[in-house]
Order: sequence, then structure tokens, then C-alpha cells
Amino acid sequence: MNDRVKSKTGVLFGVCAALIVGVGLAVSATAQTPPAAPAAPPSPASQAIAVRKAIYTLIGANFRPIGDALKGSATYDSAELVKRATRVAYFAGLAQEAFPDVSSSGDTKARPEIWTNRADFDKRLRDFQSHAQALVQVATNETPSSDAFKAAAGAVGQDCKGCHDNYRAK
Amino acid sequence: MAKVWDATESSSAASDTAATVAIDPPQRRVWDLPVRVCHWLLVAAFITSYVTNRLGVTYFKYHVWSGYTVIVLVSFRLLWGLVGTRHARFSNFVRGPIHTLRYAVGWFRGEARSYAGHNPLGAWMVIALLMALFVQSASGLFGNDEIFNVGPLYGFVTNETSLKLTSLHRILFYWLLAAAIVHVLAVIAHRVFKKESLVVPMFTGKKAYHVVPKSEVIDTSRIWLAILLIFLLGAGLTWLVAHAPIAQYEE
Repeated sequence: MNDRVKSKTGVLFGVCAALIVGVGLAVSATAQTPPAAPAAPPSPASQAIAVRKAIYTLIGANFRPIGDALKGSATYDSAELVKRATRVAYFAGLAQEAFPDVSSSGDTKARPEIWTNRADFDKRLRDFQSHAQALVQVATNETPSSDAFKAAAGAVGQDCKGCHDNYRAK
Repeated sequence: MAKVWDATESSSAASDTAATVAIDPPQRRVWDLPVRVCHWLLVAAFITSYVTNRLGVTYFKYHVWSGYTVIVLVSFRLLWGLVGTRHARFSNFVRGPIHTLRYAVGWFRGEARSYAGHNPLGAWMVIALLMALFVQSASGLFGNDEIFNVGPLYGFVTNETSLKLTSLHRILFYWLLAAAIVHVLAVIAHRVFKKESLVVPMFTGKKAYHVVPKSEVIDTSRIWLAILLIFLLGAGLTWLVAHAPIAQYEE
């Protein structure tokens, strides 16, 4: 085969390979969640996991307005932000009891390192709660555009990210 | 096969002429300016994307900007591979599996020839990196960090889809990193064992005359076409981002 035919074969091969890789990636990205299992009495593990997911859903829903205020994409008055931060601090406390040993296996993104590095993980949860409590104080006295608010809200956000990056499956 | 002239060999009693030739062989242009700028900007954007992610949640907007840079550059390079100068075109350097395998085996035997453009193995790394960078930057556009940041096109998809794409975005990074490391090691190996620098030509655009037949020299960079393409791609991305639905949150 001369070079021109070789190049065209190469391009054809390349396009097919790229399509296969692309489809493979798309399928694997969308095929992560297993299909719902038939109804069965809930095990202690699945109950603990369901409670944990509920706690974090509530944390997320209440922290989002704080994030929007931080980014300046929405405005909230001080009372609203204090209410949200108070809830986040309360749920952060609940989160400390949301990782019993039995909940390490099941439909969860919690990584095994949580239970092998328990001391570090627990410390992160306590830091999360104390930063959230500090945010309540700051939100009472400062506007979202102030440096103090940005620092306090940013610290809580960093707690979220630090834990997720290290202890939550990707 | 003609012996590949070895720049590090110098005759023992080197005359002035031989020494000059050994140090500075005539150069011929193979890489146009858009390819070179694209390559190094992508390196910078990839590193910036990583750093802005590690810096934390408040640096997200910079992460988005370096992500925009990646997707515009990669999209440009994919188009340029169709309409660019000779050695930028995929049809010029992408070769089938048999040819590539033969090159790889020959490489380890020290027999492989030199190429004016990308060699067959490098060609596949180019394709792999471009595809991976495209998927990475595209998936990021729809992301949700579940803290308080969402990607600019988040409003186009359901939250469930966004989370799957975010998961892909996180995992794919490690594959990209591995590919980049292999790429760097291969370029180093090329310099050490084949005694050909590939980094310098990617800056200057020129390779030594003995690896570039006269028919394979490029005489123009088609810069105006490149600028037009970049502008159109940037405008397209801007339009898409501006028209994304406002994110609806299920509360």
C-alpha cells in the first residue's frame, strides 16, 4: 500500500477507534448506578445509609443559598442566611453520628478509608461543625460581601470539598 | 536505509565546518504557529485547571475559565487537523495499527526512521490526548460539585445526569494525567535514545534538514484561518453559555 492509502486506512481506523472509545466512555458514565433491587426488608446498613444521604441532602440544600450569596449570584437578607447557617451547623452535628461501622457497605459513596482513618475523618467532621457554627456568628453581624463572611463561608465550603476529595468515591 | 545522521557524533579532529554542522544543522519548518501555540497553551490550561481545583471552592470560576480555554483549543485543534497545514492534518500522521506496531518494534531495535511530522506512536498519543481533553472539558461544563458550584451548562441537563458527568470528569482526570506522563516520558526517551529533540521543534517549528524532505516543508502558518476558527469557536461557546437555562434545583 502506498502512503496515501496507508494514511486513509489510518484515519478510518482512528475514527472507528475514537467512536468506540467515545461510546465506551458514554456507556460507562451512564451505567454506574445498578438497577433498583426488588423490595426487601431494609437492613440496618441500608437504613443507616438512607439516613446519611438524607442528612447530606439537607446540608446541601441549605448551604446552596449561602454559596449563591458568596458568589453574588443571589441576594439574601441577614436573617435568611443566619437561618440557613444554623441549619447547616445542626446537620453537621448529625453527620458525626451518620457513619456507623455497619454503614460501610451498600449503595454508598462513602469510601472504606473513613473507617480505616477514623481519627482524621472524625476530626474533619468536627471542624466542619465548628466552622459552620462560626459562620452563624459571622452571618449575624456581617453582610455577604464582607471579607469575614467570605472567609467563614469559604471555610465551610473547603470542609465539604476536603472530605469529598479524600473520603467520597469519585 | 540511509543511516540517520547523528548530531552528537563529531569526527575526532573536528574541522571548523564539521563542528558548525554538528552543532547547528540547517532547519526546515514543519510545525505551524497555531499548532505550537495550541500545544503550549493546552499545557498551561491543563495545569491551571488542576491547580484551580486544588486551591478550593472559591477558585471555581478560574477553573471554569481554564476549562473554556481547553475546550476551545481542543476543538480548534480537531478542526485544524482537517484544514490546517501539512503536518497538522491527521491524514498526514495518523497511521494504521500495523504500521504503528512496526514503528514501535523498530524503535526498540534502534531502526526506526525519523518523521518530519508526528511519528506513528506520537500520532496516537495526540489523538488520545485530544479526545480525552475534549471529553474532560465538555463533561466539566455540565458539572455539579454538590457544594455550591455548578458548571455553566448545568441547566441543560438533569441533576442525575450532571452528577454522572461530574463523576466521569473526576475519574477521567487520572487517565489524562497518566497519558500526559507517558507522553512526557516518551518525548524524553526520544531525546535520550533517538537523540532527537522534539521539544525544541515544538517551540521553533523547525526540525533539522535531514529528517525533513524538501517536499514536506511548510511555507505558511495560515494564521488568519486559525484566528477565524478560534473566534468562531469562542463565539459559539459564548452563545451556548449565555443561553443555558438557569439551574433549577429540586428542593
